[in-house]
Amino acid sequence: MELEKNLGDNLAVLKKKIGSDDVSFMEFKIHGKNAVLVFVNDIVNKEAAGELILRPLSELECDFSPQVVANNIFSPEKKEVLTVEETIDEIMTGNVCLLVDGTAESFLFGLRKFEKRAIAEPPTSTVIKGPREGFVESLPVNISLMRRRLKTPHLKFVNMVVGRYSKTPVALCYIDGIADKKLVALLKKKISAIDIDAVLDSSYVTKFLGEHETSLFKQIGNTEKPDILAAKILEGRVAVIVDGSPIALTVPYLLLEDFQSPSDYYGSSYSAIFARLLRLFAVTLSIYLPAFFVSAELFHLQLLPLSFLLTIASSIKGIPLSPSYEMFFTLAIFEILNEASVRMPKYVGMVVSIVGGLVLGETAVAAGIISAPTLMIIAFSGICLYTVPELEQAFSIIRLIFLIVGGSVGLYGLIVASVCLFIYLVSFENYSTPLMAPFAPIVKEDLKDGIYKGFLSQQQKRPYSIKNINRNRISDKCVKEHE
Amino acid sequence: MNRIFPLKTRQICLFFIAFLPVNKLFIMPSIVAATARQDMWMSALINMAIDAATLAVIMFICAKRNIDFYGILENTFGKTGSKIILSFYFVFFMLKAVLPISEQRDFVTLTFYFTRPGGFIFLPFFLAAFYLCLKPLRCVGRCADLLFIPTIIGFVFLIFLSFGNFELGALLPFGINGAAPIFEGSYIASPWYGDCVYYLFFAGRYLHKKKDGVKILLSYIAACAMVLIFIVVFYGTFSVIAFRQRFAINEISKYSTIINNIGRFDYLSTFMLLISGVVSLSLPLYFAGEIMNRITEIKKPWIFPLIVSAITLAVLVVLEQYFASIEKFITGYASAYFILLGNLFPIVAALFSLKEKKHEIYQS
Repeated sequence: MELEKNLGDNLAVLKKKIGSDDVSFMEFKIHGKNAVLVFVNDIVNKEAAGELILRPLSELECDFSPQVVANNIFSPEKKEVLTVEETIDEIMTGNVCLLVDGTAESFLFGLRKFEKRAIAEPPTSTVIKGPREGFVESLPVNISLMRRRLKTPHLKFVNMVVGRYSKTPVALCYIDGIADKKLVALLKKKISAIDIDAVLDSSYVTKFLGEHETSLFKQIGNTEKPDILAAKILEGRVAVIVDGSPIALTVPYLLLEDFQSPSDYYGSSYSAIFARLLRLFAVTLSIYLPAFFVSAELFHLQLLPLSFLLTIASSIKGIPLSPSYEMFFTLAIFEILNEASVRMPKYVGMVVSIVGGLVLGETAVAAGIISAPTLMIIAFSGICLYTVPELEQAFSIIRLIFLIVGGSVGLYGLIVASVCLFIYLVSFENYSTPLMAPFAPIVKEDLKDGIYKGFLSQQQKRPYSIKNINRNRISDKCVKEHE
Repeated sequence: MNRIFPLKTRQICLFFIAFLPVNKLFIMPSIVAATARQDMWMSALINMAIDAATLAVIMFICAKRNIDFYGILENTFGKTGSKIILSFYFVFFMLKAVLPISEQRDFVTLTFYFTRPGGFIFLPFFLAAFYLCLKPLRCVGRCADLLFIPTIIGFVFLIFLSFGNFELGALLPFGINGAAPIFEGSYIASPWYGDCVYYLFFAGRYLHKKKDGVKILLSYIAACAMVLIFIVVFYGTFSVIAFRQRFAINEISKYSTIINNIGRFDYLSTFMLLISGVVSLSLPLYFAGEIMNRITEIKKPWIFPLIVSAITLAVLVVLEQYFASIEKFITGYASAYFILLGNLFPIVAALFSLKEKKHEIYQS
């Protein structure tokens, strides 16, 4: 719908469409001509609006024309719009709209002022050494954090707006000359095609970017830290930053990413290798230990050394539940405590830890409901799982499935279940990138930053597992000088 | 346009190392020991030599050809002819599947589940087999990329545990019983060999570069050598009572001092080998399903994998009582069938491919 020359008509339409108590229609005169400033109260910098728009216009001593706006208003963001719909969209995103009688267009000025959280260390990825900055919920701030890290004209952002009602700004971020152009185009197409009511968090976008709706595992990488995001896009990945979310998404995703920690890159290679091996071992232990213990107790007593067997026999004496029910029951308690401690207010959380962990566990063992080895195994398994927190949800489900299989079919069932999981993982691809790369398929060059973390001279090339158009990461000269 | 190959040379090499030795470590050693006794390693060596030679010939002839086995058959025998030959291969793979699956079922139920009735314990295997059959060939290649690790670790650990009780004297003197038992042992073991057939189904589905043939052949020999080492250590440990040790993989390390101290520690390596074993056992079903899909050109590729898995399950359940007869049949009469389709026909097919190559060159 086109804007009219008559200010009264335009105002009537706007009041009808966006009239609300928090929307201001400030009427004033420009050299005798009626004019109105329209804006949403709480998302506009009103002081700046008064200084940059109202004052110069009200003091104007000539007739109003679009040229006047160009010459007298020094707002860095200016835009002229001819339709009502576009005008409304701009007002709702926090711009100030100027309507002048006798002009069939609206003038928009970017004077947004949203309340935002201060930049802080993200709770999901804390580091001992390394940058402590984390993304916040504001897209411009997050973009500025990226710009500060990568001061290159090759860092590109593609802005889009998604969500019928939320009109959420979404930015695609990549390095021109490294990222695969086809992937950028594909993501742009996918994000543009999102047509839902609202995008309230980046996880909403994740659902549309994943290629397998029913997948148990993550298909899209994510991070809350600008340094990690910078490193990822320098490897050829494409990032998606969503306004209102501190979590940036990265495509394509490899399972290995979650076994790598930011601290691996800020410390020595030896400590990184050790930490990665430890994480892998801990996750494996976490998934298999409860199931293995139950199946050993039920079916394969010969697997346990005699002294250990006697210890277990004495501890399970008098326990009313069968080993698999006992383990299942203890795991259920652990998961409930876990869920409660995440949701509960912090001041109650401490109480839950004490009551759940100490009182409930100790009492249950003392009362003879569960045995001490079972409790210990579940507690240890739970702790082990958090060495790779990003995969905690998927692996919790797998642990439960394995426990059921181990308790009903025994170790051979576990072997078959492992093979099924393995087949599932190796056949899984997202954006033509195998989830298990660089291990299956083996990408020899990328094994230098797999579980083994290579030294500087071995990191000369960007990963082959991720499509990129520029392989050289460190120049030959630099490597030679370093050697 | 660049053709995308589902496999890589490295994956074929690792395929042989990861999956070939595992199924030969269960009852084959005791069966061959009953016939060839201390010369059983020579029987295995003959099988290995025949297979390696077959593989070398096939590779030499048709590796560089940009055509797969199905294409070779179709170009040579026509559509109907190729379907008839493929149906023989379908039977070949089904027979190749039955014996190892039933022996592994018996191994699992008798060794790990002696405290409980273990009849249904083996059923989940068929789910895994069916699941693998649904996946494309590149998935098999990727499985090989990773599963060679448990195979090697499991094997090395098992040999390490057993080596303390190995006595070379048990294998001496060589050839005292004459050549006949050696060849008979080799003939009996043929259902477990003939794995070069798998290569026939890989040909044309990977980019064959210079020296790739050597790499593949060496990896095949390495896989057979693992079996050979196992057989030597097995007979060196048990000597004349080797034929009584039905499941060699379970028995070979039982005299280890580590086991005496801390329990059946060797089961850890058995479990590792069983992980590769599940995929290895599924492979004949995988190719049987693929062949049937190819013959019928069905649009729902899950149907035949399901049928193939169900048939094998039915055979195992219905004929459970007659396992000894099945074993006798497969290691007896069916051995000739295995040699025919596992060793002779692949060479013939490869020769046909050569003829086709000339034809193509002539045409061009």
